[in-house]
Amino acid sequence: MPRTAATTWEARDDRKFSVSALLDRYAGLALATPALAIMVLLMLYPLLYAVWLSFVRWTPSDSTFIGLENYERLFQDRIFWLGLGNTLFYTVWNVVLGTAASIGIALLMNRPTFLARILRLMVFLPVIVSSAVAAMAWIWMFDTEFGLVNQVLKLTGLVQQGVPWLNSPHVTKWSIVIVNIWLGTGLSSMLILAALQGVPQDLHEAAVIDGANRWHRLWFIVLPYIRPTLLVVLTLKLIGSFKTFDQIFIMTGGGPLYSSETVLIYLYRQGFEYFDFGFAGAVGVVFFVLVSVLSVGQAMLLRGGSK
Amino acid sequence: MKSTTKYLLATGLALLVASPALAQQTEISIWTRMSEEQNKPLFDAFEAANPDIDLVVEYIPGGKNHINKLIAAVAAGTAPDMTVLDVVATEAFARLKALKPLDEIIAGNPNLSLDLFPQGPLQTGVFAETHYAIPFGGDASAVAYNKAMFREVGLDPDNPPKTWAEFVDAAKKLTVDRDGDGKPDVYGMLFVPSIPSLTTFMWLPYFWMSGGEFNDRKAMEFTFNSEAGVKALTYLMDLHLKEGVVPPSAIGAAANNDNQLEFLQGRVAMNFDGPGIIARAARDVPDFELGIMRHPTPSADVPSVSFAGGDNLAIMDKIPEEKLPAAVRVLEWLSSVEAQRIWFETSARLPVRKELLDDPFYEERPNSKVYLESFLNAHEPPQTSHYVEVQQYLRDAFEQVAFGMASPQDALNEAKTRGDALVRRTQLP
Repeated sequence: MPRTAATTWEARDDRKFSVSALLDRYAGLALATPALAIMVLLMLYPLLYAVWLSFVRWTPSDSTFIGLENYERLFQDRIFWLGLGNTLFYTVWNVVLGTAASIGIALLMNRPTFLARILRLMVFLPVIVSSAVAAMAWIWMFDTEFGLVNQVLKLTGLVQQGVPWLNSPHVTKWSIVIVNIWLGTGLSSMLILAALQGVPQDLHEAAVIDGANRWHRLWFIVLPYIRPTLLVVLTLKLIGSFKTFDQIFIMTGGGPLYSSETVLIYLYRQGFEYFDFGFAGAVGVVFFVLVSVLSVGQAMLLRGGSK
Repeated sequence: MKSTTKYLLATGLALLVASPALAQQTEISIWTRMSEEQNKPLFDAFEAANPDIDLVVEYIPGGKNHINKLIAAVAAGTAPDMTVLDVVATEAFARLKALKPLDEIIAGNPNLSLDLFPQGPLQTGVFAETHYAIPFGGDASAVAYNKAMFREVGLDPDNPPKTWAEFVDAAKKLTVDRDGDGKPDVYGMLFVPSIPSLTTFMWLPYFWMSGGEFNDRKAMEFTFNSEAGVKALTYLMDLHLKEGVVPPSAIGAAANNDNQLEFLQGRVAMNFDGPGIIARAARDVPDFELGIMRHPTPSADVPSVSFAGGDNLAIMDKIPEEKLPAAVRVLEWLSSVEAQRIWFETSARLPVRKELLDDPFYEERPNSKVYLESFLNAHEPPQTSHYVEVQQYLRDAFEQVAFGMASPQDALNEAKTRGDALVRRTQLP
């Protein structure tokens, strides 16, 4: 008697080698393989290559193994530590001020008014502007003599002389913080706005009946309710701030006097200006470790938050 | 039907006839840091004269962009066959063994004889006593000035300042408070102490005119912290700090500040610049009254010195052997008198063939003539493997002085210490 398809399948099921079982077992892997291959090619390979670079004195034809020499030089370089300090400075202020501003703006936008809708548009606008274009615009606006910012400040009588926004080692850091917050607030305030709109109205009403004022409602109802979203925003801001490069590079190139130097600008200079790719590899590896530690810390914080 | 057959036959025959020529056409990829507007006329003329070579040009305007892309390509093994290369970057690429040594090619080739080129530009292509590049386009620094603004303040635009003292006096007169708010609206001069390449480019002529030597290759040390270095740095920084004739925002200016634009917009009356300003002024502000003067000198008896910049032509080391003959022809043609004459049209660079340096072209164009005179009296860029790094150290020195954090001598001493440490570590002068 000829075997039908059904009997074949059954027979295979009996032997526990059916196609469906195979598919069940390996389908996930098969589907993930293209993405994994791309990740290995575009992320893992460059990462391993950077690690290798960090142990050599690089030339295109005959790189020489030099052990930990690049790392020794790196940790002895005052400008690297300056860059790291600035990177942490930007990260802290961008996370603290940026998140506070995002919450404030999201609360303003969370109203059924025409002005709130206009505000949404205005706040989101920087998100769709290229950071390079934004940086160029801010260079003009921050110009000491002719910039819009100083003109407005002078007209309103807040300052008599132009503030050297990008021309003073003391002021430039804060100018960068302002631009970073301007660029990053749009997305985070939209995320927070979405979370705010999920806060049940009856909680507010119950709190009002219990005599809670606006501040109480914000502190005891709204913020705890949107905590998971806030943690996501914090994580995005933390990682994003740490790897900020383009706008600072365009606006100041790390100056004046390294006051806005970051680890990534330092890395760029070593690799693409001094052609010292081995040393730049060492900077990259140290930076990778730092970002990894931060990411893991954030992940643990998130897990704690969700519990 | 018959006519269709004829067309098909004709097309087939044409393809048969053309195919050997097409098959023999060699493709040479070449990158340049100049814009299409500046370089295309030369490359087009090359292709017209050499139909068997297909020049695939990639324009990467902005010196830094070009170098970044080229070094990335060298690292990845995807470099072009040839490149136009900033004279100050040539040694670094030669040091990385990314360029093909040309001595053997030059030795047997009268079209590339070293006697055809001025010595200064030629030296910029030499590393470890080997020629890695030949001159392609010359560049020299001078002082561009706004003739209308000169007249406005009673200065004679046809008789610009010649000494450092006269230059300061002129810059003071040109610094004008137009709206009466007690602050200048127009400044006399633009000197930028915050952009490594630009700062060094501006400072070096004044350093050389003070009698300075940048480094001592044999002793493996930098010597720019000499009395001459301090004198030149002090003179230029005094324009900012003492005389107030430079816009304050020049200190700490970002690398992409468009100094030419500030000059052409009339925010400053004078600016250190290369010959490219002639074409840009003519294109962007046609009625701009541009004057060019040579760098002022410390005293009347000291000759004016300029910075010999510009570009070299090089063949990349990894070029396939079969393409080498075509690449050599590109070298020959682009450095020929015929090609170099095209610089007269574009004004982007100065020709680097000796025969063209006294061409009648210059008699009709006084601004170009000043650049030519500057070029002929120019000092070649410092010969060091660490020019880019030392530019950064010098930039730091200028900023330290600008922000009152160090005296000129201390700031230059620190830059020298950092440079010497680099020389010791790499064992390259």
